[in-house]
Amino acid sequence: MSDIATVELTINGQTVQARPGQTIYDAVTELGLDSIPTLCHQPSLPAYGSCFVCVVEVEGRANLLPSCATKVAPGMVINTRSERVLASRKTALELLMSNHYADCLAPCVLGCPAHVDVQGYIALAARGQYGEAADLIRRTNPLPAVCGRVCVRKCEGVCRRALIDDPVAINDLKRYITDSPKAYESWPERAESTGKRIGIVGAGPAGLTAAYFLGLRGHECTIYEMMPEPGGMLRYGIPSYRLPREVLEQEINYIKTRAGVTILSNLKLGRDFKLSDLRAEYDAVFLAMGAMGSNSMSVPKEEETPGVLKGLDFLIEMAQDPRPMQGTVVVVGGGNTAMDAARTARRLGAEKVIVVYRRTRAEMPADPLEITATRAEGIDLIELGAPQELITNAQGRLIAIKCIRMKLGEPDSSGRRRPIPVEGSEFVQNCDWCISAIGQSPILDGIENDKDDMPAISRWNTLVADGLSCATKVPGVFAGGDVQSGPSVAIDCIAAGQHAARSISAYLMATGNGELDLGDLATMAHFNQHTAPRCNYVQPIVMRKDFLGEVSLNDLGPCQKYSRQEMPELEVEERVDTFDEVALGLDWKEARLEWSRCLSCGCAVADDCQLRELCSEYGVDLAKYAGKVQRYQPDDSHPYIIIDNNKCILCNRCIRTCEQVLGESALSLVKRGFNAQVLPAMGKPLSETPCVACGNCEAACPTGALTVKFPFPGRAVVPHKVVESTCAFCSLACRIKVKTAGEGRYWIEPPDTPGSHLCRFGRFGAELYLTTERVTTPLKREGGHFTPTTFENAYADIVADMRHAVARYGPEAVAVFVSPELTNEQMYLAQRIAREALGTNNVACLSTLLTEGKPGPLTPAFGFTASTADRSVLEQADVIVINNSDLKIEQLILAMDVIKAIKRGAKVIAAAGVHGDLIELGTLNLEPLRGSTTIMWQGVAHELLKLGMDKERIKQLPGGAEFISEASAVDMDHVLSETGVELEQLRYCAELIGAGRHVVFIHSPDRTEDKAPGDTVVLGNLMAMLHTSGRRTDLLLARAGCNTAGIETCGAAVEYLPGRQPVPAELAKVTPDRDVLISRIVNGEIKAALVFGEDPLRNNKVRQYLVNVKFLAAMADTMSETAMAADIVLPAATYLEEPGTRVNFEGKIVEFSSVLEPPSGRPGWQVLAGLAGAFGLLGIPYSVDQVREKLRQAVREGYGQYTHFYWNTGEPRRWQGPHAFQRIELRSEAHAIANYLTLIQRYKQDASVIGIKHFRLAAEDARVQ
Amino acid sequence: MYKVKVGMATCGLSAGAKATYEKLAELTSGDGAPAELGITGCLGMCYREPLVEVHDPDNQEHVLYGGVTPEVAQRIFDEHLKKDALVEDALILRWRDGKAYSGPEASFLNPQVRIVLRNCGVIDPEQIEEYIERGGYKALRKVLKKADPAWVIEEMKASGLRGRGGAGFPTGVKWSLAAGYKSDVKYVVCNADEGDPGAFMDRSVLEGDPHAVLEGMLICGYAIGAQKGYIYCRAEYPLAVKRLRIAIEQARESGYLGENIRGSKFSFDIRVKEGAGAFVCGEETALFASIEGERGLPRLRPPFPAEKGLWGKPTNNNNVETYANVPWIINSGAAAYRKYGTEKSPGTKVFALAGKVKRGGLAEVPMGLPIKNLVFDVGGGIIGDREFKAVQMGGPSGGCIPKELAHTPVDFENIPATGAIMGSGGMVVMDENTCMVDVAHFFLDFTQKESCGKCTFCRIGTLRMLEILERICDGKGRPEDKDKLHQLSIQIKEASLCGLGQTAPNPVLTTLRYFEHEYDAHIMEHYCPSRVCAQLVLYAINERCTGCEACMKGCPVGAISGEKKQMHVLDQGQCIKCGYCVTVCPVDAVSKIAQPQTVAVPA
Repeated sequence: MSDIATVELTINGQTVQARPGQTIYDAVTELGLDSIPTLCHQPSLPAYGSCFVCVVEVEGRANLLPSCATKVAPGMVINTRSERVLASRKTALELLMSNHYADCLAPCVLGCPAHVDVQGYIALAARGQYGEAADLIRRTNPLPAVCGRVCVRKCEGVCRRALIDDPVAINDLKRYITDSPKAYESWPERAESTGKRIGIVGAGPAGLTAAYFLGLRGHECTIYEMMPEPGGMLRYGIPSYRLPREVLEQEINYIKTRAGVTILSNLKLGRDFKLSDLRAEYDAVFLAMGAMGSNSMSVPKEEETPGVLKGLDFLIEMAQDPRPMQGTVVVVGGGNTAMDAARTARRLGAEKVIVVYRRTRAEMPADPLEITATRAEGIDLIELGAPQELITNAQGRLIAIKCIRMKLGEPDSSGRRRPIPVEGSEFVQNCDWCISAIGQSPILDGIENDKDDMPAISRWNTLVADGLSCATKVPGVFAGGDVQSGPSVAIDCIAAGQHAARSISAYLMATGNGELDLGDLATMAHFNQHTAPRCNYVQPIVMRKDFLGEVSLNDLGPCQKYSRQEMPELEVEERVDTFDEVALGLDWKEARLEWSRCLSCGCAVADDCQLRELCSEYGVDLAKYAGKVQRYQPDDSHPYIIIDNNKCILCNRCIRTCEQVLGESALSLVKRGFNAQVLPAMGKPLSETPCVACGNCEAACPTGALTVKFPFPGRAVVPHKVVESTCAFCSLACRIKVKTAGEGRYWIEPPDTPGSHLCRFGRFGAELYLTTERVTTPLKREGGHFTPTTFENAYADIVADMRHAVARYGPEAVAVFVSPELTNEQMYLAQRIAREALGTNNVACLSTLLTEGKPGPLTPAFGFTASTADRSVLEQADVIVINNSDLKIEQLILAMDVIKAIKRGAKVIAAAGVHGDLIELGTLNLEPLRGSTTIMWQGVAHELLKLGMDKERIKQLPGGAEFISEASAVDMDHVLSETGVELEQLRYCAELIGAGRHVVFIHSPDRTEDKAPGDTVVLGNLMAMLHTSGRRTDLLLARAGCNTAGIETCGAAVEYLPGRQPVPAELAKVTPDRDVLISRIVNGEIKAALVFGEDPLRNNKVRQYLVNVKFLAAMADTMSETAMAADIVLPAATYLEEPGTRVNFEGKIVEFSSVLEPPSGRPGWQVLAGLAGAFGLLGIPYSVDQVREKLRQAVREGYGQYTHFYWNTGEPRRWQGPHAFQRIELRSEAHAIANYLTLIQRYKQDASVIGIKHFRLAAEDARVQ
Repeated sequence: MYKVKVGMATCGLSAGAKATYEKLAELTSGDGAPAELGITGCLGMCYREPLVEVHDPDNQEHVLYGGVTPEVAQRIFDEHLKKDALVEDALILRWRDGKAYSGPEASFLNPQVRIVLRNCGVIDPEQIEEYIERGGYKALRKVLKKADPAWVIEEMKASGLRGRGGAGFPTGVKWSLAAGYKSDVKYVVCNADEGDPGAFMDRSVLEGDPHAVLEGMLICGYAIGAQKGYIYCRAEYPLAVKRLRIAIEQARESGYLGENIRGSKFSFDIRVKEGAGAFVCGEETALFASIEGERGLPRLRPPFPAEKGLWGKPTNNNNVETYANVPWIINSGAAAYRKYGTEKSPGTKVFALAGKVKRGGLAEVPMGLPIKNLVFDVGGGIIGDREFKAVQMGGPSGGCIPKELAHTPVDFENIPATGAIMGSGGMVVMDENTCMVDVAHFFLDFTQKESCGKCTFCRIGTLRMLEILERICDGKGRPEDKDKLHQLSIQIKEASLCGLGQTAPNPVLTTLRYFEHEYDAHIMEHYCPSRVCAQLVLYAINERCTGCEACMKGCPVGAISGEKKQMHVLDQGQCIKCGYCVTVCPVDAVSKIAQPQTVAVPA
């Protein structure tokens, strides 16, 4: 548009136009010229300028400038990416990281060679999500059950829990997870076929792992295995008492079926095919033959002496064809193969088994747990002994072995002390068998070492390949696992398989220009094809506490000691003569204790941390500015929020957000310089500050300094879906972002749109459904208790009983009650059931029926009864009147708008119901006695008339003259005595309103606390007076339920059919208006009722009204008091489970997604449609869209020019002014009935009365059970 | 009858002026006493306090005595006041008509031009009458009579006065900016949060001549259209705060403050706000935040204070010395002011001389005087006549200027060219026994601790620099440290929000620039040439030792052994280099030894 002035400037060499007053950051972002990084800037807040990560270079300026705070100016020449800028940003990030005492990932995750997300799967297991937990393990390790049994547990070696007592029994938990049948149910997504084929040699852990991940990426893998069965060392090297065969089978089967892997057996490299054959056949080759050759003892005649066996050969043979053994067996060696051979020999019947090892037990490379088991099984250990000579009988068969004693000398290159023979210490050990198990090495037949196009072989007889990428010097040939590293353990081979899959995939998918198709596991930045093929990974930066200082018990905060659960095992006498699995697995109780011992060391927002993201992008050097570090103990005293100052970068976003939300600060900055920190105000716990627990500070935090507590056990970043929907905790209908990780693991965050905030209920309210038992199936009362039944049977019972009631008592004695929180679609169906199936007009929402007066109190005056504008009018208002609304508690987001208006200079009158600091921030607080607001406003009208309203114009409107005479005649003494408000205050109120140019009233018509008879009408008269006297005035009706505004529109009211169309005469004859229905209810004339979503029986008064109800059916999401009293209970869905629309307080139609699956499998509208069908109703809609279409038609026909006040789909609306003044009855009366008749309203009430802390504790108790 | 005045500024009081005053009060209390006793502020000769001035109104002669203990006071009373005989051994100066003509300290006063300090050490700061008697509030009356705010601003612009807080922004231009913004509420702020170590000019002015500051603020308020003034004074200056409050009270009573001042339509009032001791509150936006009751964090600029300052209203902020210049300029005219100083930096500048200089105190000299004149003429040279090494100017935001540049004229053009800044006027003189790495460490330690913690570079970067300097001083420097310091210095300067961060690295940068060899000696040779850095110095007992056992008895680690009256021996292995032996040795027999070493530098 040419009439708007622009600023011309140069950004990165480009001449561009920006808007005047715009910051450089906004201009660059808006024009899409660059993505400037920032940590302290939040678009919804004023610029702050502290992180200095967003700096840019501006020609002519000596300093770099923070782009978030610097405004564009004509002719500016800006560079957002000069070397100076990039270096400065990098230093800023490096400085921040030098004082970021935090663990991005838990030590267990980093300690695992395959980086299995230990913290994540423990968290999922703790929630009972065993299937998800197993799948999470399989994202990095496709052999979870195998590892759960044989892993050497490097994760446990670094577990922080050891600082308190013992490491968490991580591996035993992993086994517990995979023992669940759910662990093998999943079908992970497999990428579309790439057409690439890969040949893999060896079906051991490395080969299988590589094949699995390559298969999932759409490549076709064929494994060549020399043995009859796949598994490699897992099958042939590890005896079945440690790893049962069926467990292995299950894992291999999963890999084969999910990743489409072909395994060809009995094919040996060098014997049956050559490497060159594979290279010709496949696009890439992965060599993973393992290390299946046994080393010799270097004792004369060991190869040819009968009775001398090699450890691995022995295990392989026994795995295939176990034969009994007799006599004494000497096993030489101290590794796992030696232990396995010794224990196998024991099981095969050997009377005596002795392990001879040249160092001491402490130096043994075998898993300590296996050494212990070996000893427990009665196997002897001769330490510091080495075989020297084999002693044979006349037939040349082994009868004894001569050994020599050793002593330990200086440490060797492995760090272990070198054994030195002690001269003259020879001794003879009789034996029938000697099994040597002193190490293995790869068999490299078929690889011709001397050829240039073959991988090189090292002097340790391993294949030479890059440790990280597995690439050999031959393009397309990769090698990993034991064949590359020499003998190692399963998890190392799994890691190698994982790396190989990543780099092979990258190699195969490399495009002509050197660009790579990046795998999902990590980013591969560079693949150099010119030299020896080699991959370099740019891994996300991982900060770890032990990098900056030694982690001590002090860092962990107060923790209780709780010892580790020991793995139950078969008793020794039971196990030594069978190959049954020794480890029995934890039971649920033991597993529960174990997973609750997990400290969740890794950051709960590691995947969502802006600091980490930028540090990775800028490739920071974490060590560059190492120095003093601030160390704090995290503060988790608040029920919802954890403050971990270790991770704070002092961007102040939390404090500034809190200030914006609350108008004051629950958080503040204390101390100065390097010691500055964010603390709750006045050094109190956060829960004792003005904190309203809205969680917006946490949402603003760019790192993990503020995190939320989850309402389920385990803090971890787990794979999750993100779905946007709408909140149903009040009538504001804020947009929400729901993150779900399956089976009750979900949480809510504000959407990413700048300035999106939520209140406590929007953010944390959904916990209600996680901590309360849900109704999951239809229930039928039988005798004194409920039994589950089918929907069909439940429907049939309801149909029969209701028809019976109609027949017996007449249609006037049956009723259908709907909750103000149902969707429009549900309400529509409910009223059809009432009218069409039961022939009654008794349909209403009890919550509003018993609290509101006449329907549409403003309709005679305005033509409609709804908000006259969007909440954005608060941006223009200069006077805001809050009547009967506790915004801070009930509609915090509206309170934020009011606070913004106050900061802008608007005057706020807290008329009634207002609590907290809105009172202090506002201009005037009236606090009339309960039930007296109508009289008070009439008093204000009296004073306003004295100040000079346009009486002539008022008189021209219907009722205007009467209004003036009545208001003028008000007895102010009466007003003062009825309301308890001082005259000066009323006068001041009138002055403020009278001086306003745009007065906005916020009024909650269905809130009973400070309600007075006719209060909506008196406000309408006041507005009419102001409007007629030349002021602009608007009304925002803050409704109690999320769909209170939709009740009448959907026809869930006595007076109206959908679209507020008139009720047919015969129905109106049954019940002409709500007064009739109310009197029937109050007089106990209702004999049968369907209650959809409400909980009227929670209220004692209403309970009395309904004592004569003979048949009651309730649709409820939890066992409410109404459900407890019902004959039939139908399961209801929550707002996160129910698709459909609701009408918010502005009259806007808002969409709800069904983010979660309802536990019953049926959303509420389906339940109602099913019931309608059971009643035999015709034309029952078969989709929620169809319901909506029917409603839309009705609304269009019914509302005419006022449609967009009730059913707004985005149209602008303008209140054209009043048509009349109404008579009001000056009566004060405090309301008897609280209107909180739904679960959501009850929760809101409980949470505000009891206080956040207490309420949350209940949730935590539920968690522990 | 004589008029006797005792210097009762903080410098005088800490040297014992209270006892001197009480002694003289006792002596002159009776009827027929030969003298009338009064108090005054600081004359600048802090090194000779307590000072007592005897003024003979008859012959207009002033005689100044220094180091006046109660005993000396008795002698002054007995001899000078009673017998008209000078007490020669305590006499430091005699002057008449503002010109010193004899006395050992005449060379201190004679190079000075006292505009800002015109009343300091002359009048009683607690008596408005004495101020008025010396022409006080005449400038305000002139301005009110002229009734032309624009004229005031033009006069200020013509005078060329530049902000004395350190940045040197033209005061008249600043005023015109604030005057240019329309607002019904505007503020005049006086920054009296003098926080630089070694700087005390503002304190002396506030203690010695508070009305000059008030009058300057009033004239500013009139010129820009403000109604309210704030003096943000550090709470560590209790006497200044007290005298300001007295002065404000007296000015109100005399009709120079309050509604419709002297019958004009101009109303103006001033409040004193005490700071809580944060250095960063000397930064104007942080200062505003502090006055507003917020945490003293600097704010983004723009908007500049002239547009949105205190409470978001147009605000003019100058420091104490700037305002104190104003009445003189209005009275004497811009042209008179321009007679002093240089073309681009007219007028005078008050310096606080400190460090290894003989005459530590306050001196006001014309701009453009070379550094060496200040050090050697006014300052009297280096204590012990040791070798002059450098001056540190501008406080912790400033830098070190080496003796090779001692010819540099002190003004807003030449000083910044050296890498130092004019600053508010602190000048620390250093001799050959000063280690420049240690100096850089000292100043950085100060700024690092005073960082407010808002910006990344200042909060963490200055600490990292300090850690590097610490390890260099400890002999653990690494070869890359110089580069690292330099790079961090530049980046901190380039990317910090306020002046504190933008200047904090200056002491490091200037020492790196002029004294790189000292860094090299520390890092590469584990050697502190000035024998300051404890870890790089060996203590040794030389042949002067008399075997008195003083050092041996006090050594905290028992590193010294020896027989009485025999030469003692110090065990290097045990010595923790605390320096105790050096301080107690009566015969200077402990020497500090430092030698370059060839050492393997850790990677």
